Amino acid sequence: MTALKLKKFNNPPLHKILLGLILIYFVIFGVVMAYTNGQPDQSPHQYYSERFTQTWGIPEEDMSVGSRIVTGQPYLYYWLNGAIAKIYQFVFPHNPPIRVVMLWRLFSVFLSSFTVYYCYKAAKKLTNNPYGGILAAFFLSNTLMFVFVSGGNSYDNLMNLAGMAAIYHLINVYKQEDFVKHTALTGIWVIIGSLAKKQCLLLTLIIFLAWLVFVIRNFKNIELRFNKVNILIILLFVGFLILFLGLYGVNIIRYSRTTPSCNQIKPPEKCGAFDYRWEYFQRFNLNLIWFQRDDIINPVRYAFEYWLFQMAESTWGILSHNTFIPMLSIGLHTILVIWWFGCLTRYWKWKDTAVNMLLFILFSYCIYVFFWNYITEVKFSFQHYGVTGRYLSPIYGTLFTLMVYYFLKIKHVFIKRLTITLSIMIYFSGGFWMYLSRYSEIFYHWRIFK
Amino acid sequence: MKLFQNKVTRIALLLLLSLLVAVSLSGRILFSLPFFYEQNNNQRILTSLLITLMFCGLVFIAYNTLILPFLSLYLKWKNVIFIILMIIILISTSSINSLYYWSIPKENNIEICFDAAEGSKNLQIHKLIESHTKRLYSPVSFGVDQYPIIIPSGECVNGKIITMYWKYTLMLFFPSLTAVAQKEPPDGRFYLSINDVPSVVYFDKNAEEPIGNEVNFNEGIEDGETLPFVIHKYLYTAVKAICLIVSSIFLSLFFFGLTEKIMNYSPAKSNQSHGN
Repeated sequence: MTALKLKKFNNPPLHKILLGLILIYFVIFGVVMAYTNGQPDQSPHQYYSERFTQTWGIPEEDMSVGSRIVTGQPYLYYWLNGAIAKIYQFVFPHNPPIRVVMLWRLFSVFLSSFTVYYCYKAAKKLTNNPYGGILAAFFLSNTLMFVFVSGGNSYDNLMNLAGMAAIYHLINVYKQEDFVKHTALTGIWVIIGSLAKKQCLLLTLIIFLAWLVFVIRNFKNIELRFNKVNILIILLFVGFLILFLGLYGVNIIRYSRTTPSCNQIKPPEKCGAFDYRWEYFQRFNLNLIWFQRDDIINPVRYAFEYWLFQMAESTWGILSHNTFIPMLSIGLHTILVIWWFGCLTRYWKWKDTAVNMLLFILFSYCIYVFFWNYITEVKFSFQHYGVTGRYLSPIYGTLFTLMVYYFLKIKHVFIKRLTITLSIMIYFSGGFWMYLSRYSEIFYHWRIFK
Repeated sequence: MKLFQNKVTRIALLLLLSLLVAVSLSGRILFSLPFFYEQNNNQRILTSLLITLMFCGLVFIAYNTLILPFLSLYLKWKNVIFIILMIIILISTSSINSLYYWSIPKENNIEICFDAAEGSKNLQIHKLIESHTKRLYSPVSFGVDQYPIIIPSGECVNGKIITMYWKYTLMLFFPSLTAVAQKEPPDGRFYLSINDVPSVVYFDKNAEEPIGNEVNFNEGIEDGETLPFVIHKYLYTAVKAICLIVSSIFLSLFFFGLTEKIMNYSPAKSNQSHGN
């Protein structure tokens, strides 16, 4: 260790101390959330994880089980859970210290702590200020729905990590860092996300388009470096690409869709799920909609009267099998987002290409989730099935990165200082402090004891 | 002033100041959390010590990195306004927002008995909650780590609950305790006394208007004993007010230093400071 490195090690800069503290803070918050029930769809996640515990490959389809199918589905998160369980059971064959289900939950916290870390790195890169990264990581660590899902057994956690890491590497591409390395790493992460959850395919497409725009605009200036590390990363990328094509390519050829439906794998009588919803179902048909257009709530009204508020409530509150909507906190968070939007319109510049790329990712993903929700609403007579901010979780980190970027752009020192301070206070009081101070009223009721 | 120029004295003073702030911060946090009052004396002391020690270290670092380096900036009027504004915001939001912080904790003795009308069916108490805030009382003093508390027919269980009411919240609602039994409680006599004030209800499925599985009790709940560490109500409130003021002043200075660090960061300066 050189003298300089030793000096840095003994006297770390403040932002590194703060980063360490925030990661510890998040892990503590995540672990206490892991002992809280009510996270989305725990039963299917547990079923699939258990299936993958039985084999090192892909388990065979169990035709006796209802609508849950393994064939052609994204598997990476469950495969990792299965591998963890097998190793754990090998190490502790008798009387394990904690249940495997809890171990999977703690693994989710582990994954999400890396999401927080990548959020730090992304904001640091974009703002050129490590304290900007600290702020963004702190915001993410105190986003109630993100931490709640992080404490559960859910593929969302791997997808969120993959999304955040891919976006970080894309920022590096836009910042003219090593093109080959960061392109390959972006590719690896989006594939990891897509192999964890199908919803990540859209993020993959958006990120690919953003990457393509960069390549087209900078085609002549791109410098290709093929050193040993880059070749290794490219090989890894090719490996993941084979897995990606092995899943989605095969599905498209075999089933004519990205993932097969239950009806394509099992007899129809096995495939009933969410039966209570079907009485409201009406097949989506553009021609039909055209004739009924005066009877349907229009998308703008739907967005401003319901969707935006629902997204806020289920991002800074909890909306799942257990629900907790702290209205004052959500109101303050919403005001903060509106304030950010004001800063964005005031300080937006065409030449900030990396920032514009993030805005493109943020808004395209939001628009996608909005229209996906809206079409579901039209199909199911506006019964509000599956409308939750959790679906925006892959871009939470992007939002916070952009929030911090524009807050730091504020010219007036006093207002900038006040904005940063109040943001920290709002996020802390709506995050871990909310958990602690409302524990006996809310979270104690949801407690898992073993 | 020579005293402050001595490094050892300066560190000692800083440690003392850190300790004062750490005690205030841990007081500000722990007095807001019901679980702290539900612990026994030894646990409370241990929790306070651990939290104070942790804060002491963090506050010491904060003084050295975020507060003392910007000492000269505190006298500029814009900065003074910011610090005063933050102190006001922190004190006012904390004062309004803390239902439990200002309350006087009282220990209430509870006895629950059950006599089944037929056979030896058990009554299961799934929750004992504060009726308005839905605060779940700890079942530990009833001899179980987690709910339900099971009461075999013909038997009683005893325990304690810590109620926390602030005099201003008592203007809004009357204190009461809700016992939530299993979904279909067995028929029988359900007795619950709070501080030796008994109340009795009968579970009877065949009654014209059967009472559900949730029963509210409010008699006797005001007669609980104040916890022993609350020696004098006014002194106790004064200590909490001091904790709030000291922690608010510290946090204002901390936020000022932190924002100063964030806003004035430049990669060049940072590299220089590390000798690059």
